[in-house]
Amino acid sequence: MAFLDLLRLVRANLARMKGRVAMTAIGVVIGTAAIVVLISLASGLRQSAVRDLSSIGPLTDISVFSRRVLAPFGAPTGGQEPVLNDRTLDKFRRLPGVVAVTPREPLDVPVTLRLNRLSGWVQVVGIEPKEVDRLGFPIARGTARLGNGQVIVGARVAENLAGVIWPGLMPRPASGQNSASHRTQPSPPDLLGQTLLLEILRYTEEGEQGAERTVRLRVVGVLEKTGGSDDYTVFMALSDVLDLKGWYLGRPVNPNRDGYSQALVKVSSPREVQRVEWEITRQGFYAYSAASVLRQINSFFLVLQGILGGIGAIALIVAAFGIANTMLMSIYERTREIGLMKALGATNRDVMLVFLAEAGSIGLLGGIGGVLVGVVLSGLINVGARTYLMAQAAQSGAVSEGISSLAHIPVWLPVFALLFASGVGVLSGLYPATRAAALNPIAALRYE
Amino acid sequence: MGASEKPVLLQTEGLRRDFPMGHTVVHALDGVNLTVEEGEFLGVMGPSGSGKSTLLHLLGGLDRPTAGHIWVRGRDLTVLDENELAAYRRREVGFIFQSFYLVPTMTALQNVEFPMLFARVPPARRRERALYLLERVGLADRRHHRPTELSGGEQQRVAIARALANDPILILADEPTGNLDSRTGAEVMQLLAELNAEGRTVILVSHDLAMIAYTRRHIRMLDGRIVGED
Repeated sequence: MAFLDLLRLVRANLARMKGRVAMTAIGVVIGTAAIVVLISLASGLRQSAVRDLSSIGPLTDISVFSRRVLAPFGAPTGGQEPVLNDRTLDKFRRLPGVVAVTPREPLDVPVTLRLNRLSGWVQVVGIEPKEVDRLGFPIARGTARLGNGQVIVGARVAENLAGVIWPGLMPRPASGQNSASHRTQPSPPDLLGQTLLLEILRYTEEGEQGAERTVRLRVVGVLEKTGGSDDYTVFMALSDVLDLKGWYLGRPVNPNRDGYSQALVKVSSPREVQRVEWEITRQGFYAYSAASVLRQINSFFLVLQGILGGIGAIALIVAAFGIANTMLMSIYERTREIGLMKALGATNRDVMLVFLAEAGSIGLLGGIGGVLVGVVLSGLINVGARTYLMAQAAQSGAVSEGISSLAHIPVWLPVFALLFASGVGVLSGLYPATRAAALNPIAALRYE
Repeated sequence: MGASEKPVLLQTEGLRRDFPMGHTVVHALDGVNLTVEEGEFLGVMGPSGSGKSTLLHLLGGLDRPTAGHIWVRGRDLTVLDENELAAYRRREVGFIFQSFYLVPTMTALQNVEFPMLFARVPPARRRERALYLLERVGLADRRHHRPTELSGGEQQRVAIARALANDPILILADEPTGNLDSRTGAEVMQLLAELNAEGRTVILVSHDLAMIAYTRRHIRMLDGRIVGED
């Protein structure tokens, strides 16, 4: 039988048992909608997890730690841990795919940053000046060239100094207009070209205040906002940091013996991350990257999607038995017609195709309904979640910026759901259709 | 069997068909040897249970014999597989049943087109032929009516048009007038006689002597055997 004729015949056959087809399809609607809603929830969760990940850093960055540094946090050490020094960094530099390598040496001593009358807490990190331009720092203004006595500052260091950090946590003014609320807070100064003062306090062993040292630092660059901790960081030349550290400790720092606490390895593309990370780990270091976290998150959510989708699929399996039942009943009712089809020269394959197509169509119809219902439900969930979160935010006085969606429907999901529902329909029609095809034409014609 | 120069259309040899009935076996056909020439109008008579319908089913490829052979134009039906048998029914046989067996949800036109779906006749040609055949049986004006809107005689004429859809060489009619009054029955028989006059071979099963009178030759059956011929 030609495909179009088959479709026309199936449409006519379904039309004459409308009520029963509708009832049966509703089961498929429920199952498909469940699959769409549950997978869209998992997908939405994955999206917001991945979005938050952008604060970790670019996908081409690998953070490297010495296991020695991590030992207090429970990392296993064998006593003979390799040191993260210039020699090992050179080794990383020679790995294929690596673009730049720099230590990230924090100045882990009590410091205060001052600009005129403003002061604030700040994180100071020393990096290798020669590598700065290759590290791909997102420079908003100024240059990516770092010399001694110079710094590149994170996007929110200025806000930090001005005390306007966490605006959302500050109580709103009573007559809360946006422009008014801005006026009550000091606007952050433009740091580019300014000279900052970095104060370091050294305490004696008795805990009394000892010497104090102030360093003048010229701001040569301001970074773009990344959403991560780099926003609050002041980047300084590595030698400056080692010098200040040595002064604070009262003895020169020897990174080639003690190692750096952390390093940053930049690779040419996210594809290189896994291999380079594996190589670094093989050399006895601990490596961490947004790319590999992303990979783990993705595989976790893939499993979650599978589990949730599987729960939805249970409803669809129940519906499949409904389809099989409907088809069996319709075959009993149309036994004589099947006999007639055979007498008129229909092959067993023709008969089988008719009933498989009818079952598949019930699945497809239910699938279409299920996708529509699922899309609407996902939309309602998002509206509900957004309303709830906005109400929560309003109550706590926080400014809600960009509340993400709870449910997200990827493009493949409706297509997959339709194919799956139709496939379930065809599968559940398999047994009834086989029975119909195997009917003896004379017995079928005589069936009352 | 009268001498004739016409070629043989079909021939059976030692045809047997057994049906298991509980612990016993019913011999519906018990060694039937029959030769039908092309263009014949053959009547098969006999009381119910004599095996005449079973014979018709075997000749039409709807059933398979327990033993024996059926040759149609020299080809043995008993060795054909399911698909080949379906193709035989589709191309060479047109069935007409006592209960018409029209599809109730289809119009007269669609019912006539139905067998051509399985023969993969293109839609335009299908429609054209179905219209021609409905005209041939005098029901062109009733083509959009469903079976429930047609009289018994009209339904059977639609069924005859349907049997002609794929232009078969052999028409097998099983008590085609059984559900009709004698006047409409005569009309149907007249139609079958006309088809025969056009050169088609028609085999008619009936226990109604008035209908058998339309045939040119008839055989009588009893207990699965041919017991006489006129």
